[in-house]
Amino acid sequence: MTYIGVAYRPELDGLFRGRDPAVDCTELIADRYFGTTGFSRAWELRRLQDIPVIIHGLCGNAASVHGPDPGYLAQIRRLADATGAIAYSDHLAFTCAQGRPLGHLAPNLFDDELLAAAKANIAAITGLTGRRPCLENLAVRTLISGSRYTPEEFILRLLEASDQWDCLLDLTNIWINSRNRAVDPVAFVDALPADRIGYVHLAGGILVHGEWVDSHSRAVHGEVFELLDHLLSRSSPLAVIIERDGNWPGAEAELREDLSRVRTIVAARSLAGTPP
Amino acid sequence: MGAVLTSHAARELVLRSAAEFTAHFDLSAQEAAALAAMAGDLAALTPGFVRKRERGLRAAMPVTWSVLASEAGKLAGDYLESRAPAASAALDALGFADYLVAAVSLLPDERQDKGVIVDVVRLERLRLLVSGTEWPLRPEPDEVPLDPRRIDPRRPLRLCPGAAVERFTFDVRTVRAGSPAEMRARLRPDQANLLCFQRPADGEVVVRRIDDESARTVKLIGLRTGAVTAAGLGEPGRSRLGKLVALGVIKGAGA
Repeated sequence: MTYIGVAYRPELDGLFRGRDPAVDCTELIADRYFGTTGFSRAWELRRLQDIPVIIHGLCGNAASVHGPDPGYLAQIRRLADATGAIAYSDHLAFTCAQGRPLGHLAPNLFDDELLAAAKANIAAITGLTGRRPCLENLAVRTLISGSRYTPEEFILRLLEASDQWDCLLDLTNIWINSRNRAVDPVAFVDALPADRIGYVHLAGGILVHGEWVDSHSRAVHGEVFELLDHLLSRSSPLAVIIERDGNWPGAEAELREDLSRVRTIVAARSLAGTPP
Repeated sequence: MGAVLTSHAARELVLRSAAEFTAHFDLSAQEAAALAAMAGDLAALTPGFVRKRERGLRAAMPVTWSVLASEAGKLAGDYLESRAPAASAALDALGFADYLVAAVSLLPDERQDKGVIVDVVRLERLRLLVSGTEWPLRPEPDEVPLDPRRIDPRRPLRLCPGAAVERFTFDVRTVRAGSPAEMRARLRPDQANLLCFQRPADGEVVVRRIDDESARTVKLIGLRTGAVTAAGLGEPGRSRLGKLVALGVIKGAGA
């Protein structure tokens, strides 16, 4: 079965509450809940305790020669254990250099050194969190000069190099990349091993000065739904999660429509089921 | 590369004088060459990263941003250049709040609304601190509900986690983002103890004005949590206890 949900934001609380929540599951930004004796924003965790959750980290530093911070991964494990998370994800990004966080999901110099480092990082993440991570592809406009691989080639190489991870496949990022760079979205989706698609992100972006930006502030694009339909013709991800981070007026209604559209696509591909 | 991505100044330095940048960060010749090759790419990435961080700071301290008006952007710019990003947006916002508390105290004394601005920044910092309060996922076993009308005098008392009280020169609770400067200028000095705490049920950060005796009671129970009883407070503090318990800021601890 495939869970269908929305990434949790307090502004969208109505989607998660009541007798008939609009979602089967949700995704929590892990870093907001970290603590030492308890948990920050514990009331949200209590409120969501009946909904299966996915823990989504921001600072795993998987695509960096510096690698993940063990203390950060210990926090991930603590949160995932406490919430009984059904999955854990982070980004295939450079987020921290020599103990100094960047505060952002940065692309990196995609070369063989980074490939080897990312493989080792994934092993460390798996060992320290006790979970098989799903790693998300970024929307990347600027490629770092000197890179041997495009971001898409790097992902495919890393899937071959390490079997300890799955893709958190952000279909909107793939579509946005295809608008900003020479990327064939369907060819890239087809090149990914069907059994390595952990779960899926969808969102709506905006066009700024002629370039698409993954702003998470609009309804999901029609082309992204088509890409989802294509993906589901060959893969059965654990979940499809819609992300929304802004433009709140009318967002809940827009998300209900998007959720309905996802349910229709998933049902048509015979993946729907009742959550256990 | 990390420094260039998060700092306009570092970006300018690597574009203007790669050799100086190389010396400053003690880079090897190979690292310097790689950085020079990617300088243009990093220059394209940096502004977006810095803007996003500034948006986070603005959202974390909206009232301060509003009362500082055009100075807010400059102070934020100084902060962004002088401090590397923190481990989380919440920690970055707290770092910015600490920075502003120090920075606004250096505003010219002749500025009419300086006192109000200082207190606005302090209150917004306090709200940020309290909003990061950690709570257990389930009620702690040694937490005892109290009836504010009938408090057992022998019951040890505890302060709600994260609760804090500070004394302000102005009662700045009424200052909102977008408050006109003339309205702020009309505020008169009015020494106020502002109690700030987070409701564990919904995360709402509550700010209440309390009198001096209540403030002393909160501070005493906070300092010696679980070791003070209502009987041990003495009459003036005991008389304020019911109201503090009703607010949810004082609870009973296991005997």
